[in-house]
This record gives sequence, structure tokens and C-alpha cells, in this order.
Amino acid sequence: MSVQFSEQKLNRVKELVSHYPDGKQKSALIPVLHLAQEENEGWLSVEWMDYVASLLQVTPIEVYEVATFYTMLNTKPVGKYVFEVCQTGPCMIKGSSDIISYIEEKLSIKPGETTKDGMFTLKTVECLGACGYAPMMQLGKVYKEHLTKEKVDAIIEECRREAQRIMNN
Amino acid sequence: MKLLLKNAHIDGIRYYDTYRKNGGYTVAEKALRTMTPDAVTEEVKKSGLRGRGGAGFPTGMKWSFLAKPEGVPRYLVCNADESEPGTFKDRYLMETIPHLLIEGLLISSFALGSNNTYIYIRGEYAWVAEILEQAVAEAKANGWLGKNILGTGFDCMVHVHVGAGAYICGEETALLESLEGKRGNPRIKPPFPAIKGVWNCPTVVNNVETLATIVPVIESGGEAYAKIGIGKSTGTKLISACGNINKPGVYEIELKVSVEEFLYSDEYCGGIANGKRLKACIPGGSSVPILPANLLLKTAKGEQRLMTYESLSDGGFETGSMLGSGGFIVYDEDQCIVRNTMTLARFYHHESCGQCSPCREGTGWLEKILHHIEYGKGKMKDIDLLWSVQSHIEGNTICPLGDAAAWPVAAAIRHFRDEFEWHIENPYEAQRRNYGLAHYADPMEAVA
Repeated sequence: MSVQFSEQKLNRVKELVSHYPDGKQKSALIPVLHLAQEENEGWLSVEWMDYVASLLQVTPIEVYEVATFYTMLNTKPVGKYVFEVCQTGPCMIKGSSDIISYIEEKLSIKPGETTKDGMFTLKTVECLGACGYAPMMQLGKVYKEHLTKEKVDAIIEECRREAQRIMNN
Repeated sequence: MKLLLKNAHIDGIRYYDTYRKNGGYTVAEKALRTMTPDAVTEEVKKSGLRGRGGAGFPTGMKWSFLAKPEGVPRYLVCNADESEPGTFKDRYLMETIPHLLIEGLLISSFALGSNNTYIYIRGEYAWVAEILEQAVAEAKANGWLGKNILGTGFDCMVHVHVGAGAYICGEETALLESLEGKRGNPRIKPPFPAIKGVWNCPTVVNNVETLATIVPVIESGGEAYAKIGIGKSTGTKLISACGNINKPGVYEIELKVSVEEFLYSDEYCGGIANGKRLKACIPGGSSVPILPANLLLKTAKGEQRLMTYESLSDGGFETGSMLGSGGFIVYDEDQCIVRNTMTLARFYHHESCGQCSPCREGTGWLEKILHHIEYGKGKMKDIDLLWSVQSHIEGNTICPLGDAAAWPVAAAIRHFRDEFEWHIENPYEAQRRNYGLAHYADPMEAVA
């Protein structure tokens, strides 16, 4: 098999599996899929899913059916930075539609699409539990709240700078 | 009155040392050293504490249903899959004072006999999961988790389990499926989790706030706790307030504050933002019926409405709503009820697990029809069609997501039918301006 976790990640998998009773290692599936996604630029290829299946001693179909159920697990490639903008009621009344249109215009992509340079993906998502700090989006592991057009500009700039830094190193 | 958040303002309360210095873990010590598990459960029963996740089921009673067969492990699972639109109180609690939850989990695990307790947290709250993991590590390092805690012979470990984005996993049996590494499809009940839960073992699932509240309950004793609040709404509740108000945020209230005080006083929401007037409010998370201003502050009988389980549901679904999860969403005069209802229908359509046909198909139709009306393509008969679809979902599904999808649509039509009709009759105008306040004016404002 061509894909595999690093030694460090394998230890993390072992630790995750130890949280559950003997023989119930399948319970670690979702946390391990998060790890796999981190390793594979934010998405789960069939290769990675099969690898996770072998690690946890479950059949590949058990992994596929989970991977396709949960919103945070991507079974298709995504950009380096994924803007997940909430569009549910409480964010909508605080102007999330304007934020979405602004990002569409600024990056020339529609929700579900990725910029040609593979840098940004725009996704509309449902309630992320930040209603009091609306409008908001999730960017990787953090929330960006109280969004304005200026803040969106700054976030895009920040992402580009960070990507440049990583490339230079 | 603050019980959960009384120390929330203290710098560094997120960390063990500060939490401990401010009286943290003394209640756990009291429970483990001086009480029996059954005595803890008895206090919880006496407190009248009701589940803070939304359903409001008495916690002590839920605990007493837990089967205790010899030689079979029992589990406590903390539901931190907070996903109900309008609700962000558990997140605030966990971010701010995570050790309160850990202490509550320890006491509850002791009462229920759970040696391995799980916190199922929604995947999007990734940084909160990290905060919890750190808190668990600190608690373990200081002897509050692990083997033979305080030399009592009781073992307890807390594990943080991260989900991956699915509202349905807030439903307790879907949560257990997900914890087993499967799709979050709710189970048919019975058997209830108290008999067969995670890995077929007896399991109690409680909300974050419920489990944190165990700490003040045991601290003061059940009877003293029951004196706070009114009637069967005992104690305090976290309310997450959002929408068009001056001070969105999370507030702890005694369950007897009036809706008017909560909405207008500077201690809480601070009134409607930008000098606008109140149009409507969803008082308990997106699933509960929306109320127009004139039914929010006073009941149909003309009594002042209170932030309690009973008062908010006074009048049933005809003229009342529910306290639910405490997700308090406020709409000002500029907000469009049709558009709001459409976003909620889209939410439930997206989050339906697809197991039951009425929900899988019905939520899709609700979204489609509402989309048509919102974008100027609605017909008058669509309103009755919406009503018919929602009525065929309600009560016909394995889990309450079906009801949760049906209720907001039913309530919007019940109270704002004229706004739907206006949208359909004036498709072009409806794209450009809002229906406004119409006759939903807030009666309190007229007085002021």
C-alpha cells in the first residue's frame, strides 16, 4: 500500500484506539479519518480510506459509508484553504448572504468550487454554533467571526501570505 | 443569579490551578468521600434538574432508569454535539470553564458507575476539543481522573471524542451510533440507551450544561437547588442570545426572569439593535415555534411570559413555544420570515440522515417550496401544500428531527400567513423590500 501514517501519527492512532474497549477499535474511525484528511491535503482518497480500514480492521465499505455521511469529511479534493461560511437563519439575518456574494466575486468561484490555483475552496455550511458572533466562517480549525468585507479581505491576504511563507521554506 | 458562570470572569479559570484555587473540585471531593452513588442520584432527583439539551426531561429520573446488570460496564456520555441553530451555550461553557464540566462528569460518573466516560463533541469545535483534552490531562495529573481517585477505589477516565459535522448526532441514539464509528442514524427505541446504549451496554447521555449543573446541585443539595426558579423550572439556565439585539452572547438566568426583562434589560440582551422594533423571536433554538412580538412578551391570556419551561410553552403550539435548548433568536422589523423559514428548512433538509422517508423527502419539499415562494415563484396553494407536507412529517419518523423540521414551518405559517401571501401576491416587490412589522407590533413598546 502506498499511503501510510508517519510513526508519530501511528502512535496517535494507537492512543485513540485505546480510548475504547477491546475489540471496539471501529469507534476510533472518525477521529482517525480526521488525521488521514490532515495528511492528504484536506480530503480522503479511496487509497487513504482503504488504509484506514486496514488499520482499524474494518471493511472498506464501513469507512466509505462513514466518510460520505459527515459534512467535515471530504471525499473530493479541496483547496489549501476552505472557507466554510454559515448560511443558516441567525447568520442570514446578520448578512451572511452578502459575505458569500463578496467571496464569490472576490475569488471568482461559486460555493462548492475551488480557485484555479488550488488555493481556496468556498463552501456554504449549516449552523456552526457561533450565532451570537455572526456572520462567521470556519477556516481549518478556527472560527472567523463578526465577518465584514474588510475582514474577508484580510483573511484572504493572510492565507496568501502564509502559503507564500510555506512555499519559500 | 449565577451558579455555572459565577467564576467565569476570573482570569485563567480555564486552567486547573486557578479553577482549584477558586473552590474547584471540592464538590467532587465531597461526593466521592462522603456520599454513596445512590445518594448523589437522590440529590439530583430532589433538585428537579431537567435536561438542558432541549427536551427538558428530568435528569434524576433518566439516571434512575440505568440498568445495572452484574459484570456489564455502564457508560456516561456527554453530549457536546451542540448544533441547534441559535445555540452556542455549551461551547461558551467548555471554552471558558472546562473544569466545571470535568468535575460534573466525575461526580456523575461516580453516581452512575461509569469508569470510562466520553465527551462527544462536534468536529467543528476543534479548538474546544483541544481545551477539553488539556483540562482532562490536568485533572488526571492532579489525581481527579484515573485509577483509585482520592483513594476511594473508584476509577474514572474521561475521553474526548470528536465528531465530523452532523446535527443528527445530537440525537442520543445517533450519537451512540457515531461513537461506535458508524453513520449517525438514530436507533429505533426501545430499547432505550439506559438498557442498551453504546456497545450494547447501559448508557446515560446528558447534555454539557446538565452535567456541569451537577456541581452546584451537589454543592448546595437537591432541596436548596430546587428552591431556585419557579415550579418545575428549577435552577438556572444558560441562554445563548443572538439576532438583532444589542448584546448577543451567553447569559445565565434564574428560571423565573421575564422574557421582557431578558430581552430589554442591559444585564442581558440590551434591547433591539439600531433602534428597530421587535418583530419575532425563536426562544429555544430553531426547532421550537417562532413567536410574533405580541405573543412573546405576554401569553395569549395576557399574563407576563417568563423564561421557564412552563411559561414559554403556555398556550401550546397555537400561541406558545418552548424553552428548548435556550437558543434565543431575535428578529427585528426588517427581517423576512419567509426567507428565515427557508434557511431553516434548508438546514433540516441538509441534516436529515435519510433513514425515514417522511423526513428525507419531506424536508426536501419544504425547502423547495419555500425557495419558490422566497424567489417569487410561489402560488397561493403552496401555503397549504407546505402545511400538508409538514403535518405528514411530524410524528412519523424514528427520531425527533422530523418534528424539529416540521414545527418551524408550521409556526411560521400559523403566525405569519399574511406575509407568505404577500410574498406570493407581490413577487417583484418581495424581492426588493420586506413585509415589515405589520400587525405583529410589540405591545410593550406601545406603552413605552
